Amino acid sequence: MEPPTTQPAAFGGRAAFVTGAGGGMGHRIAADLARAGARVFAVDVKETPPGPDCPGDRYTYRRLDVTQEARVADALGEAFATCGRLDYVVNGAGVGWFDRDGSVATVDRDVWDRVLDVNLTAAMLVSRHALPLVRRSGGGAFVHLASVAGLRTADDPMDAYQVSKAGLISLSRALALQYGPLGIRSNTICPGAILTPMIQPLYDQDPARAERMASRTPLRRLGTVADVSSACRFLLSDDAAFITGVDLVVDGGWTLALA
Amino acid sequence: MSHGTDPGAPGLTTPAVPALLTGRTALVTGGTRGIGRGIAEVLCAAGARVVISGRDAERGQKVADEVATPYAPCRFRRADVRRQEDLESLAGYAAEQFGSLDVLVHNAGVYPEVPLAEMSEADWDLIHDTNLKSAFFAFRACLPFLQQSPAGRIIFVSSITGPVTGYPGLAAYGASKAGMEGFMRTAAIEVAPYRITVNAVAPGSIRTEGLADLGAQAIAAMEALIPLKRLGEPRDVAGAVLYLASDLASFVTGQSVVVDGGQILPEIPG
Repeated sequence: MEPPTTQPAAFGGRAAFVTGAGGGMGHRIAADLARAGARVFAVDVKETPPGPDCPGDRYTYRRLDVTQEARVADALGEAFATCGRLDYVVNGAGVGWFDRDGSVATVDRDVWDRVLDVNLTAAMLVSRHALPLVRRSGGGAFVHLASVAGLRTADDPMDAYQVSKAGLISLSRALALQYGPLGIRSNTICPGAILTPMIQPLYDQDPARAERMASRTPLRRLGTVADVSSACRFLLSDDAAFITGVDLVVDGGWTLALA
Repeated sequence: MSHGTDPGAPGLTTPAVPALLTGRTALVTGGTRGIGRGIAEVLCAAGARVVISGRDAERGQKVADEVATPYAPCRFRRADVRRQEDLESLAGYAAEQFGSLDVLVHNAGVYPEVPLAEMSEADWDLIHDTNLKSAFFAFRACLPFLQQSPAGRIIFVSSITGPVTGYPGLAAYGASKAGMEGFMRTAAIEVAPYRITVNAVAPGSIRTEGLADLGAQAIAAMEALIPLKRLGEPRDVAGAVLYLASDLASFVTGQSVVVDGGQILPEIPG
C-alpha cells in the first residue's frame, strides 16, 4: 500500500481553463492547479501574468477580454488544442468598482452594464463555449467565484456587483441541473472578506479597515487567496464528485454572526 | 498546508508531502457502517488516527481492523450516543490512545419512518436523543480536547431532509437534522476564538447497506431524480468531510455542504 499523500491530488493528466488569472484569487487558483499536476490555460485582460510562480511546462497565459465572445471561443479552442482536453473551468474574472458602483438609485448606467458584462455575461460566454469541450473530454467541473454579497448584500451599496454575483450563483445552478446528466458539475465559491489586490486600495486608504474587518469575522482574521484556492481545488477534485449546484461560503463565519 | 512560491516546490502529488491529516486524531461516531464507515476509511487513508464508535462491539472491532492502514491506526470503542457519560468516555479514550483529539465527526443517527399520525412521544424522543441531543453531548465531551488542538474541527453529518426538504414519515428525523444545523451555527460562533471550525455535510440519497433492500426498481427511480444520475456513495460524503477536517478549510465555519448530486435543484423533481 502506498503511504498516504496530500489530497486532493488527482489533477495529473487534467486540464483547466482559468479566467481572471491576472488577479489575486484567479492567479493563486491557476498556480495551485498547475502545481497539483494540472495543465492550466490562464487568461486575463491584463497584458502579463502577475507572477513567475507557475510551473512553466504546465502553465500557459494569454491576454483575453472575456466579454468578447469570438475571442472567448478562440481562446477556449486554443486551450483545448494545447492541452488536448478540458476538464475544469474556473470563472474567476470579475470587477468590483468601489468608487463607481453604488445604489440602484444612482449608479451610472454604463457602470451597471459593464459590471454585469464582466461578472455575469462573460461567465455565460465562457461556460457556453467551454461546455462542448468539457463534454468531449468525458465530463468535468465548473467553479465560479461569486461572493457572500451575492447571497446577502454588500456592506456599502455596490448593487451592480451584488446583483452580478447573485446572477452568477443562479447561472451555476442552471449549469448544474442541465449538465449533471452529462457528468459535468457546477458550483460557486462565495468568499467573504478576503485580502486581494482588487480591494487592497480600500485597505491602503483606511489602514484600520483590516483590523475592523477581522474583528467582525468570528475566526478573527481576513481570508487569503489560499483559502479560496483550496476551496476551488476541493470543488474541482474527485473528492467532490457528488457535489453540484452548491455555494461554498468561505468567510470565516462572517455571515453567521449578526453582531 | 502551504505551498511556497518556488516553481521547484514539491507538487501536491509528491509523496514527500504529508497527507492532509497526518498527525491528527479523529473521532467518528456511528463509524461502523454506512456513511460513518466511509468517513473513517477516508480519514485513515488521509493519515489520521481514527476512533470509531458504535453499539455492536463485535462488528466494531472487525470494521476497525479493516479500516486501519499501515500508516494510520483505527480503534473501536463501544458507545451509546444517547448517554453523555459514554461520549465523555469516548472522547477521553481517543485522546488517551493517540495523545490528542483534533477532529470530531458526529455521524451517529437513526432514521425510522414514522407517520406523524402514528408517532408516539417515545418515537420522537428516541430520534431526537439519538440524532440531536447526542450532537450536544459529543460537542461538549470533545471541546476541551479540541481547544488544545492547533486545528480543531467539528463536522456534523446532517441531511437534506429537514434543513432543505421534507419527506413523509421523516418529520422527527428532519426536525433533528434541522436542529443540528441550528446548533452548528451558534456553536461555530462560540468556538471560533479557539480557531475551531464547526460545519455540516448534508447528504442526499446515499447508497448504504439498508438501501439494497429497496430493490433495483426503487433505486433506479431514485437515480432518475438526481441530476448526476446516480446515487451517492459513502465515499462522496467522506470527501466533503475530509476537506472540512483539513487545513484547506481553516476559513470555512458554520456552513452546511450539500452532497446530493444536485437533487435539490429542480423546480419540479422528476
